Parts: sequence; structure tokens; C-alpha cells
Amino acid sequence: MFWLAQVEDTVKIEPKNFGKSDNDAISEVLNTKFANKIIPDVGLCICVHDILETVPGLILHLDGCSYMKAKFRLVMFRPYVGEIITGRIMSCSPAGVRVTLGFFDDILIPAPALQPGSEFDPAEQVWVWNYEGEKMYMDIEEPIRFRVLREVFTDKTPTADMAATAGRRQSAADASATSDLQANSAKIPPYSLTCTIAEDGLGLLSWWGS
Amino acid sequence: MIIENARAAMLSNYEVLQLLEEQQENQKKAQDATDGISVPENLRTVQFELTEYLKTTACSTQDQQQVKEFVEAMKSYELTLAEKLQLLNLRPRSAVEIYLLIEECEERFSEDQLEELLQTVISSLPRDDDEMMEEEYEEEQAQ
Repeated sequence: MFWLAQVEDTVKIEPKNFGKSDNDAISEVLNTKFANKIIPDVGLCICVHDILETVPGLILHLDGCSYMKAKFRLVMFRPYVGEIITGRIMSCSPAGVRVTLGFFDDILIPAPALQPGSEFDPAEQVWVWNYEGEKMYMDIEEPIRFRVLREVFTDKTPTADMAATAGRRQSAADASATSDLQANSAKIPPYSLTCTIAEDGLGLLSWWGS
Repeated sequence: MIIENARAAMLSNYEVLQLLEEQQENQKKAQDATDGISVPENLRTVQFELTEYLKTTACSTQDQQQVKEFVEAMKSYELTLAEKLQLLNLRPRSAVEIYLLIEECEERFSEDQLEELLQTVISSLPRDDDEMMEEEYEEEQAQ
């Protein structure tokens, strides 16, 4: 689930932090920059693991901050395809089941990837697995074990369109035209996992006696 | 920013939990010692949520000794790094779970061997419910 990513970056340290040790100051800046953020194609960054090398800083004449180049390792969350993870059910919809890990919740188990014989119960708004005549409800907050099928990184860099409409006031026509786009871009997460539970041993932990 | 290696090494849940707990302890000490030290919000959030999650998994009762034992015990089985790590992180307690974690296990191991493997996992990582192990491996290539 977790990897170490080796990264090199330039770190800007403000004069007020010159009193701290190099490593402390650098770690702080890096953690502010990376913690809980998604790096495209690398994963969800948790925190700095350690600092491997630093180059003594240059102080630029304009702002007095010290710029240091550092090589460091970040703890990344990025399950590989085929990995088994345990999480909790967050919500059910006709599209599938949404699972959360607490710190990461863009995990979807689409309807076709549920156990064969599952159907959506609209009255209770949960999925039900019909197995050998028994109805197993997939309730919210139940622990669930799943296998990762696919990871999707979406580029969320702002586009020229969004920047343009953000500045000026929108007419009613404008608003309705772009609101769909904006709503969509707000909905697609930068990093999401598609998973399956259509195997023996996968699904709610209670189904397999854990 | 240059990503030199996106997958330089694998970390077990145990190691991540240790790192987070150590970090949080240091932060607490720093805050007790000096007034007005603040920790970035995003770091706090992810630390808190991740620690909460890891405490509900197998690694919450693992310690260094258990992990070492596990690594030793696993040497006698032909398992890939990823499989060993998953065994460590998930600590299966039944055959069904072992079948899930190990690919093509019927072809690679006999039933007796799998039973033995299961027992080894359970005994080297004891827990009222679960056990932990610690491993850090260097991996040469990306998955």
C-alpha cells in the first residue's frame, strides 16, 4: 500500500526559520507542500520519510530567503493493481459501492464488480448479495475487503477557460453553460481507485467469518 | 520538482504507523516546549486519519521482534516480495484469505504447505486478533 518515492526539489526557507536546524526547516516546508496532496502518477503523499542529501542554500538578493536543493523520500499511498485492502463502506448507489479508508475515500466498486447475484435495494438504498437464498446486506460502515483493479489519475491543472470565467461576473447564460463543466471538474477526483469484490474471500468481512 | 524514483522502496503498514507515531510525538514535544509552534494543517489531517485507519488493521499490535520472526519464517517459502508484504499487512487467519493473497497458490504450494504457512503467520504474529511485522525492502524495478 505504501511506497517510498525519491524526489528532488528546491526548498525555500524563510529567514524567520533560519534558527531551526536544516533538516527541521526543510521537513516543515516539504510537509506543508506535499502532505495529503496527490502527485500525478505517483500517488497520495502522506509525509516526508527522510532527507537524503541537501545542498547548502543560496540566498537571493531580492527576498533574503535561502533556497536549498534537497533529495528526500516521501511516504506515498499507492496500492498496486491486484492488491487486497480492507476499508469501510461509505455509501451505496445504483452505480456501485463507495468505500473509504478514512484518509482516502475515492474508491469505487462498480456494480458489475460486486459479487454475482447482487442487487440494489432502492427502499433501503443499499446493495444486497443474494447468496444461496440468503440476503446479505451491504450496510454503511461495514468493513469490506476488496481488490484493486485500476487506478486513475486525472489531470486537475486549471485550464484557460476556468481562469477566464472565474474573473468576470457571469451572465445567467454563461453560468448555466459553464456550471456543468465546473461541477464535473469538482466531482472527478485527481486519484481514484476502481475495485472489485467478485471473488471468494472478498466483500464484507462478516461474510467470510473474520 | 524531479521524481527520481516513484517506487524506491515498499513500506509495510507497521513502518508507516511507527513513523507517524514518532512524528506526532515529536510534534507534541515541540509544542509543549515552545509556544506558538504550528504544524501544517494538511499534515495533521493526514497523520490523524491515517493513524486511525492503521490502528484498525493488523499492524497495530505488531512490534519489531514479531516482524523479524516473520521475515525469518517466510524465507523458507517461495513468495514474492509483494505477497510477503500483504501477508504481513493483512495477517490472514483462514485458508480463504491465503488463497486470495497468493496467486496460483494451488499450483505453487500443496494444501499442507499452505496450512503450515497459515500457522506460521498466525504464530509469528500473535495477536488476540492479529499480528504485526516490520519489513523494509529495496525494490529495483517498478511494478
